[in-house]
Amino acid sequence: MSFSASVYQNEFLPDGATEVNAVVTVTAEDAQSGPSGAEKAVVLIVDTSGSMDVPGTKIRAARKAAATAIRVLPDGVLFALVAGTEHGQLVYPDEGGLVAASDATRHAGAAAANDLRAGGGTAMSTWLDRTTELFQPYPDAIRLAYLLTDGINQGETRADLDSGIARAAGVFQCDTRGVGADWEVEELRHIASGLLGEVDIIKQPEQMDDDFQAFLERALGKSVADVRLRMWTPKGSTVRFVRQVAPTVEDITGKAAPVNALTNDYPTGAWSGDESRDYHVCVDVVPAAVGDERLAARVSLMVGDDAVSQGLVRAVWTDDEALSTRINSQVAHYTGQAELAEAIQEGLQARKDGDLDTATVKLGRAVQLATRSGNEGTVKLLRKVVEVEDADTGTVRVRRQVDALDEMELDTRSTRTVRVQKTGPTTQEGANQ
Amino acid sequence: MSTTYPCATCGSQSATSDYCDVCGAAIAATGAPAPQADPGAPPTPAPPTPTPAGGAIQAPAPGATCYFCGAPREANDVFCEVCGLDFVSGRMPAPANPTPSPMPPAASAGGAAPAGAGASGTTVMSSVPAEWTAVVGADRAFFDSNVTAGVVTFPDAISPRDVALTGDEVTIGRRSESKGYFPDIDLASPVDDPAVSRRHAILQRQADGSYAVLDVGSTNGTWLNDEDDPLAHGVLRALHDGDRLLLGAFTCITIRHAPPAPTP
Repeated sequence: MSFSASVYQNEFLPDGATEVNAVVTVTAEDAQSGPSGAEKAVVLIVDTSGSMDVPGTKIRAARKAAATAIRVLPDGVLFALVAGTEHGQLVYPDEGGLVAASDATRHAGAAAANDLRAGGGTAMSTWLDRTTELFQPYPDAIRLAYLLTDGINQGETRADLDSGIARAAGVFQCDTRGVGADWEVEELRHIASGLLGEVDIIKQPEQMDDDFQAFLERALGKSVADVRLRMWTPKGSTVRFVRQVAPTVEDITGKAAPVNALTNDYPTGAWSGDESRDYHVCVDVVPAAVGDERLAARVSLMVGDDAVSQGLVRAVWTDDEALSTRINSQVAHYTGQAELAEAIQEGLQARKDGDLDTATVKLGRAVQLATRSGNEGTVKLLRKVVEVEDADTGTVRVRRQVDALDEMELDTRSTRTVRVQKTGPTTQEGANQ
Repeated sequence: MSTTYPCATCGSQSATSDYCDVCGAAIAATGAPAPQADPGAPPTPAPPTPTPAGGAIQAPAPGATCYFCGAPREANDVFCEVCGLDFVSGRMPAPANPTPSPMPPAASAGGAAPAGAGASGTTVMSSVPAEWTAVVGADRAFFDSNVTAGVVTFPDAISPRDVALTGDEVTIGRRSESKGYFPDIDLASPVDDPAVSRRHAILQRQADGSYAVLDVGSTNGTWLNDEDDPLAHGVLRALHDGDRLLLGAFTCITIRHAPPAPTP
């Protein structure tokens, strides 16, 4: 597997300016095909609290989805099934740790999944703790969990949950899924963000099967575990933020682990051989004289102790305003995408709080940003919540009747971004005479 | 122990060879004098013997990349094999057949320019009639699709100009008198396209006399015809009669397999 990095920025700053922005695109490419890379381990965490039985279609769909997922595990993949109530219970294998998939273990695992019974409370930190124990003996494997719930974390405080997340961080990555409309987007996003995973909604129980399968496909496609983004910045500088901006917006500034006084590592989890992620970095540096150049950041991708790729973010001070006032199109685009996610989340919150004026302004701005950047997936979701009068100016009316599922779908997917639309001439009619 | 590189700006010993790992200043530009390479010569590996500690610039760390185009760089390389950057002087390669510059203002302004001014690539005119021409103009549709509105205005008055392609390498960029850099196709004048990088791309003559384009690490990219994605940095693409290169805020360079139109 090889990684490459490209840096997009306007390196020119006006005299005395300190803020340097750049978008770093990291692309992984797998030369070989077929199974490769590290050992893989997956844990399925299924909520079996009492509410999963109301209606019973939820627990039945969860049983079927988990059993199907286990049946298709390739030989040798380590796995376990955890049932979540007020404590995290190891359902399969019934004792010990992860087991390797084989005809016998797949059969027994699927049988255990079909036997899941709903009943009890919800304390998610105990689910995470059980999973942490399972993954701990396999520090070199690719370690991914899938947490499925239908409700709110009622059985414990947010502080309990946070300490569970803290114990799990670095031990495994976790995607979170909410079924139906009775769960809290913010809560599952909080868990997924802390564990380098993604949150999504499963609107109908019968969609569980496909989502489980898609998760497994992604998990099994990963080939390198524990990739870190390493960023050096010069003495005297301050990192304003480090943000993943594609495929989703995720602020990772707070995940910095110091390597030395000027260098931090940011965990990015496991990578597959065909993925590409964009990062927006913003650094304040000590200004140099007009005409001088400084390296503002050195961004490397680390696998183990090896830097597998690097990008250089530069700063050149100039008194030529034509140069320094330009905003790089990638930086502008992703600044807009981050604002889009924020506008949606704030708009939906305002709507929930009954503040329709704020909701209208924020969601209107979201429609405008999503339309301009060509983020059609998000425009479509926004239209279910607002009536668009004029997308260009962001003039909208908040709908009076909104399906709770549509609103939650917009919220969970608000962080999905699109890449910069092509700036070639084919979008314009008559460009090629 | 590990090799370090003295930084002339802050005085520290840097573990990285391209930029100082304390203050971020370029080591190559400000470091101690380095072994001189003949700018006209083909890339030759430097002697692998490490210079004594505290001496001149030493071999880069393993895994280092060209600090201009980002291509991988071997420990002994004096030049980047992709974009041709001279790691020692920090300059782009000299044209194969340097002749006096046809741009007197540029050349004279370079009074303070180092001896390598020729190396920064002034237009090469040869007595052989050119078979290929670059027509430099502006494209309104491309301009409209870029996010530069309000910052850059479209040059309505621009009239396309022909540039004969004759050298082995034709540089595209924006001239910098202070840096002594004068590209063959200068997009800083007569009409300035501020979104073109100083060193944006090069056209390289191929064995059959045609040209191929190489984006040498431009900030805003170069598009070939109506392709969706910009050219990958450091990858050569063959050019054919009628191909259009779109770059900067509005610049369109059309490649013609014909001599330039006679100047009125």
